[in-house]
Amino acid sequence: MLILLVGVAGACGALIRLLIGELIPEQGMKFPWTTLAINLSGSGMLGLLIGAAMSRPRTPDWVVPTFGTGMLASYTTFSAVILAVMPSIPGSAYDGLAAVTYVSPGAMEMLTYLLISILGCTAAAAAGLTISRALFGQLGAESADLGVRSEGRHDS
Amino acid sequence: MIPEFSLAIALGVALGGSVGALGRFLLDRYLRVGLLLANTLGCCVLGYLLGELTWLSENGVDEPGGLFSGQVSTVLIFGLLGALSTFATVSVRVAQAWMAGRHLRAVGIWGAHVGFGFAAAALGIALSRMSGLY
Repeated sequence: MLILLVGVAGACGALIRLLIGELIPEQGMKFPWTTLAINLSGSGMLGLLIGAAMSRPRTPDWVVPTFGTGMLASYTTFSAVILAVMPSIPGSAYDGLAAVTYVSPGAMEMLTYLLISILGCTAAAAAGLTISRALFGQLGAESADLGVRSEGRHDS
Repeated sequence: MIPEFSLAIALGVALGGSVGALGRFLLDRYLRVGLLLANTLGCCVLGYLLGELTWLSENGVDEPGGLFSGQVSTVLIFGLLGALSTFATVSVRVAQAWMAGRHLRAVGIWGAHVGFGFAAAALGIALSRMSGLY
């Protein structure tokens, strides 16, 4: 059942990203701003969701996998960011890539774009977690362990 | 690239989106490095796809409806690969690690995703150059 929910939510997330991509096409932009906006908003919303779920232990088990793992994580993209930065990195084999991706800025500019994405999205996620904690948490009582509790499974 | 739009593309994105999300969900649930694997895999396949697209556009090969046509790549980029790879989950996990005072771990998670992502994308591009598909 959970599999079904995650699948449907994943489809929704991908469709929302496609829709925003149609409305604000990145063609002709120097940097993929639409992708950045999608990743920023998705990271912030996932932070809000996870923070709320952690502050409310009685949140049903299906909520985070469906709206988080399924919808919001599908909505954001990592591969598009990496492949947008790739063509700008000096190395003959990749030069042609720029033709089908974006107007190609320099390597430093694109690496800065990557850094902005990483720092901005992490900050958005942290802001989401903090706001949810303030809104839904029992003030003060739980704040000490909130950051740790959902930490159980990390990848590195 | 401008995503093309039609009902078929929307259906393809929806189908790919659910398969990609499910794949990532299962990888993350059963493997310790599942999320890293999902992002790395997404970068590799997207590198391969864009490598093929580049070759086609450089050589003026027009292949409407073919494997690497605009419609098919829109479906893959926004559907399967977009859903398989994720930015939000990594951001939240890094934010949690950072807020818990585990700064080195936080930097390490992003470092691993970006490092493996670049390597996988380069591998995908190299594979597209070697493949005999064109």
